[in-house]
Amino acid sequence: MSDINNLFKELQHAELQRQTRRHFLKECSFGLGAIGLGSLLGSCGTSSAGTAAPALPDDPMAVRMPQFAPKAKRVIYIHMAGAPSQLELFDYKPELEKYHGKDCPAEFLEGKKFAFIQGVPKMLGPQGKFAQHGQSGAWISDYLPHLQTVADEVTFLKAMHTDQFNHAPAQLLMHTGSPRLGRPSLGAWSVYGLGSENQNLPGFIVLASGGKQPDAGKSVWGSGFLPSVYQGVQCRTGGDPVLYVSDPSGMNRDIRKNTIEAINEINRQTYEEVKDPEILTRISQYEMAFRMQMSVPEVMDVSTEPEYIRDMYGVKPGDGSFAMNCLLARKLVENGVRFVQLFDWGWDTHGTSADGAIEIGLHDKCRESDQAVSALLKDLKMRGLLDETLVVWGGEFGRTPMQENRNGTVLPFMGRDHHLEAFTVWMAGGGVKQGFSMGETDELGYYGVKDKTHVHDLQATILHLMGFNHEEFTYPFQGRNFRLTDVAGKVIKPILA
Amino acid sequence: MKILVIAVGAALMIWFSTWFGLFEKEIDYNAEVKPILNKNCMACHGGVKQAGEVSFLFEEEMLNPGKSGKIPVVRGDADASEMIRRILTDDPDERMPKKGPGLTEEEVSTLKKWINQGAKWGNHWSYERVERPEVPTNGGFWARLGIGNQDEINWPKNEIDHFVLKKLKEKNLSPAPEADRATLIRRVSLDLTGLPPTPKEARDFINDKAQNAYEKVVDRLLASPSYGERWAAMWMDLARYADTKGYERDGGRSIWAYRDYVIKAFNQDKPFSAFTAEQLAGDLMSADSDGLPTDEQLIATGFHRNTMNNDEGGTVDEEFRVAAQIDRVNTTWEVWQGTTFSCVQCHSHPYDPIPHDDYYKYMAYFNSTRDEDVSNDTPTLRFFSGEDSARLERVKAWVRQHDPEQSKQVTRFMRITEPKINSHDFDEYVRSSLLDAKYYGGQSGGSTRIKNVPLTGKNRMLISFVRGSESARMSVYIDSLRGTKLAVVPIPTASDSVVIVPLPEIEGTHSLYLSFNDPLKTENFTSIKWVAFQEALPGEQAAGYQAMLLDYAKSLKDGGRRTPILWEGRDNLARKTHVFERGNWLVPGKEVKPAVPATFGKIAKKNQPADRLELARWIVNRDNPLTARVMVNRLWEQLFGLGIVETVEDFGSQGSEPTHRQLLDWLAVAYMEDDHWSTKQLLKRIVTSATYRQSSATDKEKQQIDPYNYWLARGPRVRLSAEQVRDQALAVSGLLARKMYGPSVMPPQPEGIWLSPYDGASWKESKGEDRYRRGLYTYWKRTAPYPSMTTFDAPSREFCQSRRIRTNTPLQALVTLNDPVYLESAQRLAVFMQSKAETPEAQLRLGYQKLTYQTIKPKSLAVMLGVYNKALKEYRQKPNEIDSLLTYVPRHKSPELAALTVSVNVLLNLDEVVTKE
Amino acid sequence: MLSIFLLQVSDWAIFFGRFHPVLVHFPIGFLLLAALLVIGKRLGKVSIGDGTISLILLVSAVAATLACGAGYLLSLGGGYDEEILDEHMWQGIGVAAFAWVAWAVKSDFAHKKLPASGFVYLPALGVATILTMVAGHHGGSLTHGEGYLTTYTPEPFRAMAGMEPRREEMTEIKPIANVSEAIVYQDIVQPMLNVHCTSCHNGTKQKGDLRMDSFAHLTKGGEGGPIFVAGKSAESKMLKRCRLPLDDDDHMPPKGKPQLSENQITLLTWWIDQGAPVDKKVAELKADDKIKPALASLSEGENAEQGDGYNATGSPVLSLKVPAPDEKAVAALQSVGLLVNPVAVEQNLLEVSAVNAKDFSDAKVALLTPLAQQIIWLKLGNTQITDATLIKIAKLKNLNKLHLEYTAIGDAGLKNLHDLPYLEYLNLIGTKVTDAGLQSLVGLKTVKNVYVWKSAVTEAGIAQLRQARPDLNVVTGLDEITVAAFLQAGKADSAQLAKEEKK
Repeated sequence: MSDINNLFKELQHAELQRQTRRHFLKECSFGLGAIGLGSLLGSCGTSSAGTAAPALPDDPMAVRMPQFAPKAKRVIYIHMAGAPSQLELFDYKPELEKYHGKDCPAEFLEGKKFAFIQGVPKMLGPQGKFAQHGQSGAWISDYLPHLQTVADEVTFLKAMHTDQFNHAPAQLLMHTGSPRLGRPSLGAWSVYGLGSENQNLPGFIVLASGGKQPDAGKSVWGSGFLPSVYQGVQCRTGGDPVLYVSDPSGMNRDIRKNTIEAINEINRQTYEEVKDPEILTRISQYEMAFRMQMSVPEVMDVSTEPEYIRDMYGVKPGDGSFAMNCLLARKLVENGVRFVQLFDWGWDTHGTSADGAIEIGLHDKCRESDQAVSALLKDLKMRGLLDETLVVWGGEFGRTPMQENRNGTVLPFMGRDHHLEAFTVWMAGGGVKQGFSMGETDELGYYGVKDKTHVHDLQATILHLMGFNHEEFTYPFQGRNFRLTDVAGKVIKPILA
Repeated sequence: MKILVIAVGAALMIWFSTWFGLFEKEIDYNAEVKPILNKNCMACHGGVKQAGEVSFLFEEEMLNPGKSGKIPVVRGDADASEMIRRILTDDPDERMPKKGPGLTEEEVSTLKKWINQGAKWGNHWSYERVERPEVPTNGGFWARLGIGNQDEINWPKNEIDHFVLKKLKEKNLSPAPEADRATLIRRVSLDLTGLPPTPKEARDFINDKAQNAYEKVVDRLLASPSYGERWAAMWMDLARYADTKGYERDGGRSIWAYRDYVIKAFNQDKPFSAFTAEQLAGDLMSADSDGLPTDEQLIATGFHRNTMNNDEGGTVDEEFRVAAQIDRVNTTWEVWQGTTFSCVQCHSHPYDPIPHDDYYKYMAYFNSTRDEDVSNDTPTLRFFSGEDSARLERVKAWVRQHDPEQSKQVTRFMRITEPKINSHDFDEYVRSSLLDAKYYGGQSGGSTRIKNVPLTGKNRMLISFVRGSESARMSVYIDSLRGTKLAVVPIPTASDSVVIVPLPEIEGTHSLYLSFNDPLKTENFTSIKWVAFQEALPGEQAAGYQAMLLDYAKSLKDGGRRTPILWEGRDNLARKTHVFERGNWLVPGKEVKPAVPATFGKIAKKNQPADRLELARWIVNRDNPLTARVMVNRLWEQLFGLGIVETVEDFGSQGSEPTHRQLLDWLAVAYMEDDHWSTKQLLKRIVTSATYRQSSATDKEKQQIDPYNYWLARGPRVRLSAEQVRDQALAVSGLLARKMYGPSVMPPQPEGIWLSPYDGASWKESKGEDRYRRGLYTYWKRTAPYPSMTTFDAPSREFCQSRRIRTNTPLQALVTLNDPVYLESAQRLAVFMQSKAETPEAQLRLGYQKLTYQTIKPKSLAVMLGVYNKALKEYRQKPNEIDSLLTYVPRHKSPELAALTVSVNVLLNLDEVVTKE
Repeated sequence: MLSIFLLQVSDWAIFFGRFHPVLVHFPIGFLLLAALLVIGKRLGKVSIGDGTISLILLVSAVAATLACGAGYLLSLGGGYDEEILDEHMWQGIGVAAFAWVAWAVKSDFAHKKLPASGFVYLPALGVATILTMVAGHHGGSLTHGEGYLTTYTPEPFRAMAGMEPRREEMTEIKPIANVSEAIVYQDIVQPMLNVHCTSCHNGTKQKGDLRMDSFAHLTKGGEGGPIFVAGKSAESKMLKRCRLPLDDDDHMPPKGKPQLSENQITLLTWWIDQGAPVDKKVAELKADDKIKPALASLSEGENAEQGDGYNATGSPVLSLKVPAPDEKAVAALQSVGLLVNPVAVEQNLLEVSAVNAKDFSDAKVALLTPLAQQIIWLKLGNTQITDATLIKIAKLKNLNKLHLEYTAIGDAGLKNLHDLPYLEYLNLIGTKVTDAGLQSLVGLKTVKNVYVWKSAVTEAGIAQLRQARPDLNVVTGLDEITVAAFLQAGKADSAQLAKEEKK
């Protein structure tokens, strides 16, 4: 036992070394994240006022505990930017088939706003061939043959609805809870509340594919009014995986190591003189930067994966494909990254071009992504990661049961316009039921008629699974306590495992 | 017996008197009571909720019976006050507060005392007029006689120091010695100009034996043009300045003229009062012979044109126009009044006595401006040049000659194109649609309505067509499509052309109907940007009239340099303002007239400001309790890293208490009365104080007593801002371009930061000196800001932000280690060091000297030499690595330079370099 | 002049009125004092001159009169219970009157004039004294509300006074030490009702003619008839109402009152489905998986539930109450690079993760021991640990999730992991564990998922374990073959063809 005590002593010493400016975690480690740093700091005296923008802990990324024991410790959020058509993939509407080519019933058009539909459009029957799959008997069309094989892992929300029918505001609403710019994203909230497990990797990583950023730009993974340190770090598959992470050409690792050591050595001397604890923080940040330079490229390198795993995802090394991002997502959560946000651009199928056509563009997008997504689920499961990792798949809104007729003209291809009344989102893993479906739409798939769920409900549920009460998880800004779900949102209890 | 009676009587008297509260100290509502209320009661009994119809937000509210009929606060009788009863009761159903722990004994007794003393109501300190407080005297009696300890007498350099010293004594702290001159000049240069001093400037100061050496430096810095750039950088966050419009398209917006205005305003030391008025209401200021205020005043109104614009398909322009108005109200309050007003948008202020309606009364001042979320950002001020300006002059001359009266209106229209009706306001569409959610478009056989146009004395209709076709015709009817046909207009084939259509003399206000006919291209859309109704230009009979008209029409086309401005809509273009229920713009409540909240200064009651200009004057009125305090605090925060009121953005009762309230008030009054709003004067006051000049070194003890340096027992020590970190690196390596003003520039940035859909815009790397401009001039795209800026805590500028919360992250380290900007700087600096010194040792000394103005300490030098030599060894072995490293200085390639570059890379990352000491 | 002054409730009136509470204390004090002195004197315990006593009497009489005046003025302000006020007033006046009498008869001159007055003296004093008390009580009722004094009368005096037995103010359910031995109705259901229901459904207050403070009343039901059907929770009004949305007017307990937690509703449902027995113990009733966590939560009262039923995971381990972790021990783990964090706010249970400490090895494992009770989630994947470590880990009784993936551990070590009563998750991917080792898990009854991909475990071994433990889910992974199969999925693809046609 004595050896342990000795161990304790030197370890405590080491601990003291790490002590810095605000004895933050000491003063109020419990409750941290419970109500959000901000309101919390108000309560533990580091900031005199409740709604004053709060000070930061020494290590803003230090791991913090949630309000209650979480089921999902990590999230992979797969956003199909542009909004995939639920009517081709999951929401099977035989009735719509009958209506195919007929005029849209007037009641659907009364006082409705569409992005492009004008006059009276024709209805458009489902283009995919539907069948039920798995023991759960989930309806999945043949656009997604691989997903069919993992149907029993998934919970479908088939009566999702939103308030915004344009890409940017709808994406913002989906990720920041508000259609306007300037609010923190789901991922930012997560790392703000829970910190980051892996010291050598960012806690919130974004991977974009499809050749374009999401319409709302970086704001969908921004930190809004939260300190910028919580914004998503975009890992790029071309160039530096993380901005400026690789050393300048001509400066090798040894030299870099020397420089970091030198910087910290001199900084330590400065600390001895001026005793500004901020310097100690800076020293540890430089050490971490150095480690990141190693670990980021490492984790972003898929060549180390066995070939059959890469085949499973359908990854060709070096391509910046969505499949690659799925594989990376797995590697990242495996390494304890808190929140991985995938964006895949090009799901906006209006029917104005072949790429934007349901029978061609949508089909291709499904083909590119289906195998990888399904592989991701299988891979997570066999590694024992799925039950602590929440996977969410969806777009920013749905598509109309009517065929688009931009400017009143019939379009060359089959397309559907933006639709906010009904769309499908699915979730799998961390804390949600396996092989479950919730919510129904009317016979034409226009309105949700049973168990409707709103974007804010989805967000409340995700936070809940991560251990937060979305109503108490707030941050003070401009004199108000803001939360991800604004003033709405109910946890979708039926889908909780 | 008598004695006994008297004795008893006396006893009674004493006992009674305590009931009078004679021997009790007066409870201070703001200091003692309000905090208790805010903490325990206001959440349910405040501006947001009035549970049981009880609220403590306004004086009268707390005195009136709630739902239960019981009176929350009965003045003078705590026991009769429901509030107290509910706090003390044991009945769990009745006990207050409902959630959370009960009040502490002290809190309860404070409330009781307060009520028994008559429950005196108090305005929050920051809402009371600022009065000039007494400057405290320091030093004991003897010391003042020149006997004994003189420190307290000698240390203070101006009034500021007396206030600070007083507090220090209370906290048993003592001021730190003055920082050494090298540190001092670096600090003050970075603070006043955002740039480090040149070696010569530093040397001069260090060797200057004159009594006023430091004052001379300060004056020089205040006079330097960099001063304006540094403070403009601060103002940009407040003005949410950006070079794009935000939202999905986030397309470009050319409004840099406003940024330049701010720089100039600071450099001219424009009084803050004028600076304020011009930005909020420059367009309403007195007009010159052309019927316009000065260009400068108009450009200044760009402040509130920095609101976001949504150009996306299907969006409702009115929704986003309203969003912009709301942002203007919030921003005005945050910037000038340090008050969080946004919450009042949906309900009364949760904590401070501002009723819901006041928000919209205030919005009414801004609501009639002509901007309508139109994609071309109108109204804009157009600048004419070359042939354009000749045209302008010809028309002006003509009109002046024939009808001087009309000339103002004409010039105004040519420069601002207002008043006009934007085509998105047309309605009653037939075979028409709002093309690309921008401009009205009608197909052959289509028609639309222009509602309620006052036509009296307007015998000309100006129409701006986007494009047409040779066969297209447009007919104009009055009152209905079956009404009298007023005109048939052949639509020009040229895109973007303005047509002037004569109309018959018509009295009164009518709706006009446009119908379109295009026999050849029936599916074609004829698209209109705007229409305007005016009196015909004078001198129709005179020769050259047609030519002049042509000039007029031409000068109204798009193009030419423009900058967005505020322009007030008059008559039929003025808007009514309604309260939005729960802040929802779709649910308008009662109409309201412009007014300012009564809480802020009694002046509001007497003479309500009538328009934006008077509002601006009200804001900078001597009686406005907040403006000066807020600005002084803002500047203080910039210099010390911490405001006297830490929550720079919130002076309300939820904000933090001022650490030195007396000092804040004294400075505020001095700013207004002595300095007459001269910001340079104020800054000089502060930076010449002994408080500011203190060394920033601290020790364990001070660290213990005052970890955040609230009490200023040492000088400020904070990391440089995003702009400063970059500018410093460029400056010390001699790369920094001193070019000022003009369009924003695009210095090198990694590939793939910009990938905006539906928008050709791309990052076009600037050439030449524009690569090396100050951070202030870097192109700011809201949805994808310059990466290293955001890494160093710059906001994205979607909304006004008063404070940048300083973080310290590995990503910042990666920037200063690996961002090409810093590598280029390192190489240039290395070349310089080599050219100026022989031995590596000397070179490193020089480098350190150049960055910190200090002589490097032996220990540090040893470390540096270590890095240098290791690197040198490496590069001697791998010469090819030299080539790949030294990309910016190909002519000087050598292992030594490579090693030196590596060493400078270290220097640039030292704490003392990225920190203002 | 005076009359006018009285008629209109002027500030003066209120001002003097406010002195009532002050003045009343004199008569009370002095009269009692006088009474005591007189008694004392009678008993010969005190020697004191009548002069003094009569002075005291005088003072009290004067004070009492003043008090009456002030009292009247105060009453003009209004806002008091007329009835009590009236009584109070007359009692007050009584006090004054009798005080005067007592003094009068005591004082020398009255004594001389009417000798008989001596007999009046004691009664007068007595009455005055008693009235003082009564008036005092009513006065109290007026200012502090009725029954202010008596509310908290303790037994047995309550019974003596014939007062309603006082309702236990239950705000929290006491943890149950041994749940399985608890009597379901008495120890679980009724306490629940006492907290959430009986405040409105009890002897004194019977909203909807319903009492829930005893089994008899409960079964009797209210105005709407019985509130539950034994054996049929679905048809039981009581539960339906609990399940209504909070905003529904019929929801019980009403909005704003403390609500039943998910667990509690589950328990009620269970009890009713089990036939709502009055005397059965938990052990005697059938418990399915759904009820287990709910029962577990009882062992530490309501606090086990976070917020309004916000408990993200139902695992029983989370309702364990353990002492706060030793800070030294936590610091020790942290400084070897381990992450140590409570699984939730106000939880003493810990998660420990070596995600940042790949070099964690047997040498340091001793550091875990001091936290044996607290650690429930342990991640040692990809570290240097060997079988030796598992001996120590086996001592972490409350382990719930254990990550050992990609470590050198094998069967020998695994054998140590018997009786870990809360273990549900075990990750053995990439370890040396073989079929033999896998079998050793049979004993771990609670384990739900075991991950064995890339270990030495074979299909046969898995099959064998499934035999013994059908409930246990052994997850193995894909290999070249299975992947190939996966890739074959959905080759017949109509849409593909449709698309070809288009092109």
